[in-house]
Formats: sequence, C-alpha cells, structure tokens
Amino acid sequence: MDNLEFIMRYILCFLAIAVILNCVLSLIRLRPEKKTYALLVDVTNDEQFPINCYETSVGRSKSCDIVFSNMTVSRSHAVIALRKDGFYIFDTESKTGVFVNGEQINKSQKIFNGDILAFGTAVLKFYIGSEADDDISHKKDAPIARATLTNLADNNVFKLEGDYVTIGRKRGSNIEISAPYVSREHAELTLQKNRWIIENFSSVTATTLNGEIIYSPTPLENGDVIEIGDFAFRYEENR
Amino acid sequence: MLKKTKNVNLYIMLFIITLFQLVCLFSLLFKAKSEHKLGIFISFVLYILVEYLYFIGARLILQRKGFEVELIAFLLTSIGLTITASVYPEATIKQFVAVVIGIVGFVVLQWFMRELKPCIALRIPVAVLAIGLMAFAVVFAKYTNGARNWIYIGGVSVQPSELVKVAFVFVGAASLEKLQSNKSLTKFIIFAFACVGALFLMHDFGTALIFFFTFVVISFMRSGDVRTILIVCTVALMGGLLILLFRPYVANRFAAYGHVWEYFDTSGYQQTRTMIYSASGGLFGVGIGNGHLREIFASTEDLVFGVVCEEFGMIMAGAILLSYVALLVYSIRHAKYARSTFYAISACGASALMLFQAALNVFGVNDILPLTGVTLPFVSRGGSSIICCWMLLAFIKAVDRSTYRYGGVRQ
Repeated sequence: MDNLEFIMRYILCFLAIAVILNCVLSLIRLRPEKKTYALLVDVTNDEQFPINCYETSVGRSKSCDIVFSNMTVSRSHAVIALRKDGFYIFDTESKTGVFVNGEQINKSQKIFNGDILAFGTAVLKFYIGSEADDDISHKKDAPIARATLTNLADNNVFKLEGDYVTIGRKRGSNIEISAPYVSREHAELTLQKNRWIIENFSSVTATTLNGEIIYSPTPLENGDVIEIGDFAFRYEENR
Repeated sequence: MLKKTKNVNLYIMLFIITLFQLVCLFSLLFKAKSEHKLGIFISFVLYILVEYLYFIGARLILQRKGFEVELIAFLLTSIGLTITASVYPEATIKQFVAVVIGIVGFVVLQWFMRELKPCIALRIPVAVLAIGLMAFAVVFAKYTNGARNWIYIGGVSVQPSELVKVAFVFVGAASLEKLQSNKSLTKFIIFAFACVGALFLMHDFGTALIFFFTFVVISFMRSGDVRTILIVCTVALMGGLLILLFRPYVANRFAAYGHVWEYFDTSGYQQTRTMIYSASGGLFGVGIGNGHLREIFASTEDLVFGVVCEEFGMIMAGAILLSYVALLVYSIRHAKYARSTFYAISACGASALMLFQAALNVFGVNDILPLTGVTLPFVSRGGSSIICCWMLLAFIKAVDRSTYRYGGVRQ
C-alpha cells in the first residue's frame, strides 16, 4: 500500500499540472477575435477608423480608441456603442457637442449606415460593416481569394486568414519571429475594404515596405516586400 | 511559424480532472474512519456529477466553447474539498453544499448579466443591501478568532464580508452610470469607504485591505485619473496610520511580522510551522493525509497553502498560484473587446481581487506580508468564501463575449 501511495503522489501532481498548465497556457495565448463592426471615414481625407469594439471612445485623449488631435474635440468626446438593436452614439459631456446629420444630439442617439457624425470640426461618415460604400473616393476592389506572405529566406508560405494577422516575437503571434531586435508586437496586417493593410507597432526596429519605412497604416499591393530586420516577406494575392 | 491557438479539449481535460478527483477520493477513503467514509464518498460523487452536469449543459445545450476558466475553478475546488475531507471529514458534506451553492450562484449571475440594463438598474439596491449587511454584521456579529465578522443563523455561520465582495465588484462596475460620461468617483468612494470602515470596526483588516485594493483597481479602470487615486490612497494611508496611533492594539496583532522566528512558539507559531512543513513536502508532497501542518489551527483556511505545499508538493502549489495570474491576464485580454465597460471593469476587478487575496494568503503564511487571515480562493475551507469565489468567477466569464449569444449569434 505504501508503494501505491507513493505512486499516487506523482500521479496527482501530473494530472493537476496537465490541467492547470493546459488551461493557463490557453488563457494566456488566446485572444478574442478582432472584428470590424463599423467604419468611420473622415470626409475630408478619406482616412478610415475601424470600429472593432462594442464601445469605442472618440476624443482628444490618447486613452481613447479613436484619437483626434483637433482642439475642437474634447478629451473624452463621445462613445459609439454597439447594442443588441444597432449602433448608438453617446455624447460624453463634450464641450462642442456631437452632431448627427447636422443636428446636435441630446445625450444619446441611434445611428444608421451613412449617417454623418461631427465631433467639433472633425466630420466623419459612419458605415456599418467593415466596408465603406463606393461613393467615397476609394474604388471597391474585388474580394481577395487568397493572400499569402512568403518568407524569402526559406520560401515558407503563411496564408493570411481572418481579419487580422499579428507579427512579432510574442508567443501566440500569428507569425512569430524569434529575434531579439523584433518587438513582441511588431506589426499587424488587417483586412479592410478587401485590402490588407500593414501597420508598424515597433519603436525599436523599423518595418519597411519595398525599402521604405512604414510610418502609418499602408495598403499592400501584390508583390510588395515587407522587411523586419533580416527577415523579408513577399506579399502575394489572388482576386 | 504560423501558429493558431485553440481552446483546450473539454472532454480530455474533464477526463483528467475526473481521474484526479477519483485518485483523491481513493486516498481519502483509504485513510478515513469508517463513520466518515460514506459522507466523503457521497460528496465527491455528487461533486463530479454537478461538474459533468455543468459542462454538458454548457457545451451541448448552450453550445459554448471555451471552458478554461471553469476547469481551473473545478480543479482548485477539488483540491480544497480533498483537504477539507482529509482534515475535517465531518465537514465534507457542509463544504460540498457550499460549493454547489457557489456553482448555482455562478450560473445564475452569468445568466443575469447577459443583459446590461438589469445590472445597471440593480446597482443602488445592491449597494444598499451590501451596506445594510455590513452594518448588521458590525452590530450583531460575534468575535471569532480576533475578528467580529461571523453571523450565526440557525446553526449556520455566515461571513457577510465575503458576500459583500461580490456586491462591491458589481456596484463598482455598474455605477459607471452614463457610459463613460460620469467619471466622478464620489458615490463609489462613499460606498467603498463605508465597506472598508465597517471591516475596520469588525477588526477584519485582511478583508479591508482586499476591498481597498479592489477599489483602487476599479477606480483606475473607471476614471483613468491617477491624481484622484493617489489622493484617495494618501488619505487611506493617513487614516491607517491614525488608527495605529490611537488604537495600538491593532499594531499588536502584527507584532511578529518580519521576525516570526523570534516568536517561534507564540505569535509566530502558525507561520513558522507553515514554513517548516511546506519545505518538508518537497516537489511532490508527502501525500494526502500524511502531513503535519494539518494539526495546526486554521490549517484548512489561512494556512491552506502550506497544506498544499506539504501534502501535494511545491509544483502543484506553484501551478495553483499561476492559475490566479492567468485569470487576471485573461480578463485584461478580453476587457478591450468586452460588450460593455461594465463587463471589462467587473472582470478585471474580480480577478485582481482574487489574485490579491491569494497573494495576501501566500505571502502572509511565509512572513513576507503580515498574516491577515484571509482565505486562498477556491482552496480554503469555508462556505461564504467558496460561494464568493464562484460568484466572482461569473464576472470573469462574462467578459468573454463568446459566453453569450448576442442578437441570436454567439460571437
């Protein structure tokens, strides 16, 4: 019986560790799926602001989800919230107010596809879904059937799937690069309006596109070469 | 290099947990006296049944996918139930009943939080009820182990401060009334200080510290205003110093802190024994029922981490601590994509509360922090504590938007 008890000590430890480590690693690695529920498009320069959260804050403060440096926008100006029956905009006690289709709202108002929202002098068009209509200056591309990144060093092919792909040193990144000069969350590719957009997050090592450093989200074209340190990837797409 | 992460396989994990529970049950039955065997057997078998009922219901009826949070909670609760059955076999059924109440509370609270409106509507009644409960405890509770925080109702003892923890997180998150427009903390500060003040009057300083820490986390998440929080912390610190100045007996409770070995057989008795026996357990422990720490007062409550170290081993003890950290990481990860700030704040508040409480318990018995007599979440014996832990888990589960069907579709 002593032998059985001796063995049981190890079995118990093994079983508990198997459950806890599996669950803990899964909890740490798993990220909620990023979805684009709506888009805000700046009517002056067609800049797009995807709405990825159920509650998206708009304001001048850097803690907001969508930031405008414009002084007519309050630090915490408004919140766009997705509720069961659609989207609502809330004025979070801003100084200059929130306007929907030219009319100032009182506390909150339901908003619909194509509504024009104004925060101070920032004017944006609101689109439900991840794509804006044809009436803005972007031409609507055909859907991407397949998009890939090919590592030019070993011809390893990474298929771009879902709405976003993360690149970095961090475990759990979709494309994990184990190099000390690569940041934990180095760059991200997001699918917007049927185009893959690359955005650099690293302040340590630059991400370049066809030899030029990326400073802002940049759409990818077929055959583009992305470089992160010594790693180079060719972007290819079939529409 | 392209990696995809998936949820753990529920059925494999459930099989491993069941094996773990059956091995624990076998060990317990082998050592238990004949008059306790039936109670232990029934409690464990019913616990496993409840566990299967929950997972099968959630997987097959509600079609949920991610179960890591619950799997961890069920395993930790199994460890706690095993320790209770081993040290106090006569209390096994009572502890099992409390676990079932906790699991029912977890399911009901999850269901209640599927909609935001009722949560916001109930914030004031819950706050009033919580303060009322604390006031009732201050007046009517009896002194037990140096703190006046136990109420006896019909032979059942209840610790109101444990139940108020759930209300505290709920009110803290739900009183962000007008969707990020009302960042004033005044009402929440009044509520928090009423709760913490009551706990001071009850001499339950450990729980008061947990409430204060949770208050700081929730306040920061609500306002993002570091200056206000620093002012509140400074006021609280000064208040604490004044209490120590005018009520020196409070400081006497922590006289052994930092040098418990000098009080080896007096006020440092529990900590010194915990450290000795924890180390003697080694990596894999001495086996269920073979430890010595079980003989020390409060071994299944305040000193339970030492019992885990001694009887289950350091590896398992480390894994248990890791699971509290993982719950907090999970809450933070999902906070940004939660259905509302209410879910984000409540999940981060609940998981931070549990991690802080676990830290107070573990560091307290090892003399890194003063021994405040708080429980180790899910593992320590105690009905109110286990009910509170399971209900707090509902906040963590609710932050994941895939928990609920939204507009008829599970995200």
